[in-house]
Amino acid sequence: MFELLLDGINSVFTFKIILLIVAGVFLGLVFGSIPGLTATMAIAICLPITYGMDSVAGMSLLMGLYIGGVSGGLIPAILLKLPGTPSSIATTFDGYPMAQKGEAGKAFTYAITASFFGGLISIIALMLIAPPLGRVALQFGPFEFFAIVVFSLTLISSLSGDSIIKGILAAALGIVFGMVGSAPIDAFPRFTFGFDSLDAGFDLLPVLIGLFAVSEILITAEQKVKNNKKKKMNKIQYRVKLKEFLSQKWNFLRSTLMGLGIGILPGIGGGTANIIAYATAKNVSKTPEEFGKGHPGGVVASESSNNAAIGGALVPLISLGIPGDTVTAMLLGGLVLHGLQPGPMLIQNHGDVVYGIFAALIIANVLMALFLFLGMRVFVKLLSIPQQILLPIIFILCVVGAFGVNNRIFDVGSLIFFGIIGYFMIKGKVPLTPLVLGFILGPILETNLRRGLMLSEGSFVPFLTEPIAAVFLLLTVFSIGLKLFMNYRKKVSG
Amino acid sequence: MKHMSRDVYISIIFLIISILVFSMSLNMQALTTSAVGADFLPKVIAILIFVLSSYFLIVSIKNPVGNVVDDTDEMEEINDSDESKKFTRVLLTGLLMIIYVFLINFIGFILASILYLTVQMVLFSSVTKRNIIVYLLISIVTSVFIYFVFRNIFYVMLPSGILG
Repeated sequence: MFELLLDGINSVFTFKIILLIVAGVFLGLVFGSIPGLTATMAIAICLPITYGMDSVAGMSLLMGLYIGGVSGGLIPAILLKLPGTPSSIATTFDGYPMAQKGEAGKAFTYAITASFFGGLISIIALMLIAPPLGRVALQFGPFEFFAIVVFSLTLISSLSGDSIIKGILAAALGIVFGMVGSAPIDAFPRFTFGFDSLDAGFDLLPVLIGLFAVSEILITAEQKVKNNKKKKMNKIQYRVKLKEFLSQKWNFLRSTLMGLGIGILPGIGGGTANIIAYATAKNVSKTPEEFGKGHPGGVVASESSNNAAIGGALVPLISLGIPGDTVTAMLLGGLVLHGLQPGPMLIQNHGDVVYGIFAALIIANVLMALFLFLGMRVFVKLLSIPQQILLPIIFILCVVGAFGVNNRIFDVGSLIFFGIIGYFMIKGKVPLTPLVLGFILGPILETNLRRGLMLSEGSFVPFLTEPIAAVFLLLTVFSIGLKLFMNYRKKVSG
Repeated sequence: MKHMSRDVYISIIFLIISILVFSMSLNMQALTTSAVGADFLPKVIAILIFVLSSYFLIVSIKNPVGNVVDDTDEMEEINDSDESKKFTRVLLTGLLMIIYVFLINFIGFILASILYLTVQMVLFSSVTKRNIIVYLLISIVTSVFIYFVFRNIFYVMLPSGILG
């Protein structure tokens, strides 16, 4: 594995690719730090830029954006009490009080260090878990894949919102959108409404960009845009005593592992991880009453877990081709764009790209910490860019991105269509993630179902009797049961 | 009782979708002789949506309290007139986006973008802080910049329209 990683590092260590990672991390941090802009948006806008690049270069840029985007949220979380991204919500709980006490620099040191090491550990875990898991998955046939997809979809549906029904409905709607165009296997055109442009179905990128970027712009359009208050920064005192630092080591380790685990689970990522890790840190702390008043432990828990979720979320993407959250769905779009088929064959056939991704992640992680320590002033200044100027420009870039996929206006139309759908779903509190995952996984589900039925000559029995498939289907039933039980308990106790 | 209606609407929309999907999949022929054809999964999904959304409809009519407990809904209910104002703004933005996309085809990317950006920025900002000249300048610079960067560096051939 080390040789492969060295090869990966070699392939990434060219002037051009390093420059791309630098740009990616910087831009990611910018998007992460401006509230209302997210890592998903950053990747959405940059995907069209990668059209012309080779796959290692393109994916390196995206990895930089990913790490930067998740990390940048800590700046406004600490300074303005506004989480820059959902991943930094819990950082505001203790980071802002620390800044109020004049310890903003200290909070930054805790947050950046926790982000860096949390990210690093999760990247190492990713490198250790993904390749063997991919090899195991190579043995999987249609029965197993069908079961895994069903399991992922139900898990996503039950985890990503309050209501499991809304989650499943969203996933089902995603599958319906995924069925538009030629059916797998026999290429029968479905739901095309006579549009030739729909024969190949909706393209993934307009769907993703529409649902996650355009819908957000529409949501912001509801209000006259508020501008962030200007923040004057005095000299930042970064120094933290090593002993104080080390007192957080168990908290850090626990939060990192939680972030990693939550990241691996489909449907939830850094946005959930930071809140759960924070709550746990508070619960096991000897001084829970200090949390919320500027306890460094809160910042460490939140920031280590959200960065740890990065490596976790990439595990199912790289080994199984199943994205676990919205950002990895974007990354999947990036892989497809470069003609790489995500799935267990990815590591076999394109090991160079996979190890290039690992190397890019490591470099991006270092750059993220460096930029944050050295360039804090720049990012703080960026917080005051007026959003009424920024958002329209972002929409234009979304349009360029959607257009660039196939060089046709039709995709821009579907971009807006899905933007509007996304807007109404957010308003109706129907989670978006299951829809996207349904859209991506629906065709995989159907292909494997029909292939399996061909193999078994029409019998559904092997889906239930093949051991691995059976285990995953049992887990599916179990996860639904658990969610229903928990909802029931909540209702009774509330 | 106003906030219970949201879930009712959602379930009705999903009910309609399920019926549409099911009726459309009735016309799909099997092109292969395998056990299930192109119509199988659409039908299964349609039935799934139908069953779940019917259940959801009943639940949300019967039990409006169980579904909404968070405070954001309460706030929205208080400012009812504000809600319609919000919707007008979203509607305007949405329309603007659609017009923009149509315009790209006719007058090209640069001109359409300049128009869209300026109008959208005006729409987003409050009356007191509007600075149309600045917005127009920013719009021109960004549109031209994006057009040439994507054309020449990233090879995305944005429509040039009447300027080409």
